[in-house]
Amino acid sequence: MSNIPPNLLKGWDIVIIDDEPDSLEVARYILDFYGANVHTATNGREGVALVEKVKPRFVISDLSMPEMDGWEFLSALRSTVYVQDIPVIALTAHAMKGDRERAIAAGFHNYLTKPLTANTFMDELLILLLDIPQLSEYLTF
Amino acid sequence: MQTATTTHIPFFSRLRLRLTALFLVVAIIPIVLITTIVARQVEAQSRSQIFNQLESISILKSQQIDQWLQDGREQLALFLVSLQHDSVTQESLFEHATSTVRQIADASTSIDDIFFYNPQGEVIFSSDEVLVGRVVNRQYYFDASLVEDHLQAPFFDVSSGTLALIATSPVYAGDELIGVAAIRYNTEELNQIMFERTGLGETGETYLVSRENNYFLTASRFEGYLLNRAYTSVGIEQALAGQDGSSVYGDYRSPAVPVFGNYRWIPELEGGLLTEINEEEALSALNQAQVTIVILAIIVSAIVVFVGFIVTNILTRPISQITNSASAIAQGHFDQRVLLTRSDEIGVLATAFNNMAQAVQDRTQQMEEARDEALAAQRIARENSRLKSEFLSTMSHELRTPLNAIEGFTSIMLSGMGIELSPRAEDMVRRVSMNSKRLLQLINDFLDLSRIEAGRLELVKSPVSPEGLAHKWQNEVSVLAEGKGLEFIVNIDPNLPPIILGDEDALSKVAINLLGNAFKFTQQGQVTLELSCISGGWKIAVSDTGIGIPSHAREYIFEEFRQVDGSSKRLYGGTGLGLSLVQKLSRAMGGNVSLQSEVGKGSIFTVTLPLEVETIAQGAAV
Repeated sequence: MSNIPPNLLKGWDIVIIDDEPDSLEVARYILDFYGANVHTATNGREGVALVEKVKPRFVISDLSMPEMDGWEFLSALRSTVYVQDIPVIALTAHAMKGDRERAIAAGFHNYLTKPLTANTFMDELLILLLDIPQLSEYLTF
Repeated sequence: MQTATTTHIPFFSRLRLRLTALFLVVAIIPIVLITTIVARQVEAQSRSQIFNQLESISILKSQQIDQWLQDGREQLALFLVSLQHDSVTQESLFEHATSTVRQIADASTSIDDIFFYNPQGEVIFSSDEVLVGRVVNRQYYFDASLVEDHLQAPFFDVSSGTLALIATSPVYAGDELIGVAAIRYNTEELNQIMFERTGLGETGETYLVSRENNYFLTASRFEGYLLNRAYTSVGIEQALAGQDGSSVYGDYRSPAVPVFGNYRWIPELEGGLLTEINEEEALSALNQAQVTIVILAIIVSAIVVFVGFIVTNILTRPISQITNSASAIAQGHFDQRVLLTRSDEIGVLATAFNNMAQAVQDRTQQMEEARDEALAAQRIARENSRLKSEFLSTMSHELRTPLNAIEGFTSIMLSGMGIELSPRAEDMVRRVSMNSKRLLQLINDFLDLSRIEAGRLELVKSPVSPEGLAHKWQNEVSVLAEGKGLEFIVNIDPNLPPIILGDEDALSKVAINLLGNAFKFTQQGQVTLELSCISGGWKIAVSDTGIGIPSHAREYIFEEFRQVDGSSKRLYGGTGLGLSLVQKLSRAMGGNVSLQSEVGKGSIFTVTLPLEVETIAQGAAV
């Protein structure tokens, strides 16, 4: 943490979708600390509209949500013009066996496991972001 | 629809046929024996009767012949008496005699003529005047007649063309032979005697054969056989040899015609009396009797077969019924019963069979009910298991979510990301975080155990690096080591393959639990993590320099909610779920966990696991 510059994500628009407000709040605080403009939605449907409006650099989406879950959100996003190429990272409370493989096969860029904590969240996120060519060029240490 | 398959029984093994055959044999053997014996006896008796009958007839005939001859002799005697007349002269005597002979000859049927001839053979007088004056000195009887009473054996008189039988008696006047009195028998009488065939049937006959040249003296009843001709047979030869008796022999007609015959020598006639009947006719009654006996035997046999058939039918039909019922039951028609109301053994069998069928039906029904119950129970159990699994999943989510929030917020507060806390507040937040971590660990262990017990643990093997795992675990527990000032040593066997197959989650849970315990129960010294090859697998060993575990506790330390004693619980905290989870996960992965310990010196927990390495091709693909 200490070796990640506080302004690393300065100017980045990021959308986070989760039905749990506490979880959203933790993520928002940490990403906000690193300079990002964090936009939140509480289900997939809101998420699609938000992404269309904001056009963020990437999206973090919970998998199990009411109304429209993470899987449906992804497929809805992939069929929406202009935003279909935006990377989406899955967020799951308890990684069930095979979830990672299923998620990547479905088109998620990768996934993060809850709980999100200040100690580990940014480390893990950075590793994933560095793996995405269209984003890694913006990351400067 | 009921298709009872009857087991095919070879035709000759069928009970019905065998029983019928047995009946037949048992019945026919005595019938045949009795029939044969009776037929033999009847035949013997019949033969003896035939011979007796023939002999009777023969005796009767010979008596009649005797009678006839006797009658002739009496006439001759009468004639001789008439010659004792007190006539003065020969002429008057002869005159008187002539009238007498006529009377005598006319009165008797036995004789044809009476005549008298002088010693020179000239007939002096006769009942037949034609004969008077004839000379008989050339006749067979002439010489003998001059000497004594004489009966000349029958011969054929050429002049009359008939059979002649002459009896003579010399007549004396004082000592002087004055002539011979002679009678000529009526041989037609002999034929009459012979032709009387009462008791001789169609083929029976009696006839006389002369010793001289075997000439027939009386006619054969069969056409083509002439008088005055020679014929022979065994019977004829016997009779002419002077024998009396009976036997069966070939007839004079042909040796191929067997006859029952009685032969008798008639000395007066110097001939044989034959009484014969064809064997065929004589035995026809016997044959008839034998045919009757055979027919009776056949009828009796037929009755026996019929009765046997009916009896075996009565016996085998219920057996067939029972067989059909058994087949039907075998095909699942458990309500099949044998409908037989009999008080005999077969009835008992049918009742026993029905009882058995009832028992089979009841038991089958019970089994089906039990099976249905078991299936229902299984369905319920499966449903329960599904519900439990769902419950676990929901619980897991619902319990973790608030803890995740606590963990997230406390981590932010302690991270120095723009939150200023007083030293006291920071200490409290740290305690909140520690307790929330403990609670999360407890919940995770509990859920894992529940999942294992519900049979819902799924192990997914994927390629993992032992060294990478060791470093990850080191990162996770390093906080504990630093907090207590303990040394943490990691040893990795260089012989261990760089990539092995394993379930990363399960391996991590095992290692973290053991390491957590080691740090928890060790106050000073060191904790060592060792990954190394062993024969047939690899092991994860965690050793510490802690308080150790007394030997009596080693047996149950892997049970749930167990610690060495209540005091250690208070001193060291924890729920005791960890070691139980370690053991269950180790076993689920095909390995086991063992413990070496010495109180006051420390403990070594060793998890042994099978070693699996991915093939090169798959390894390259991953």
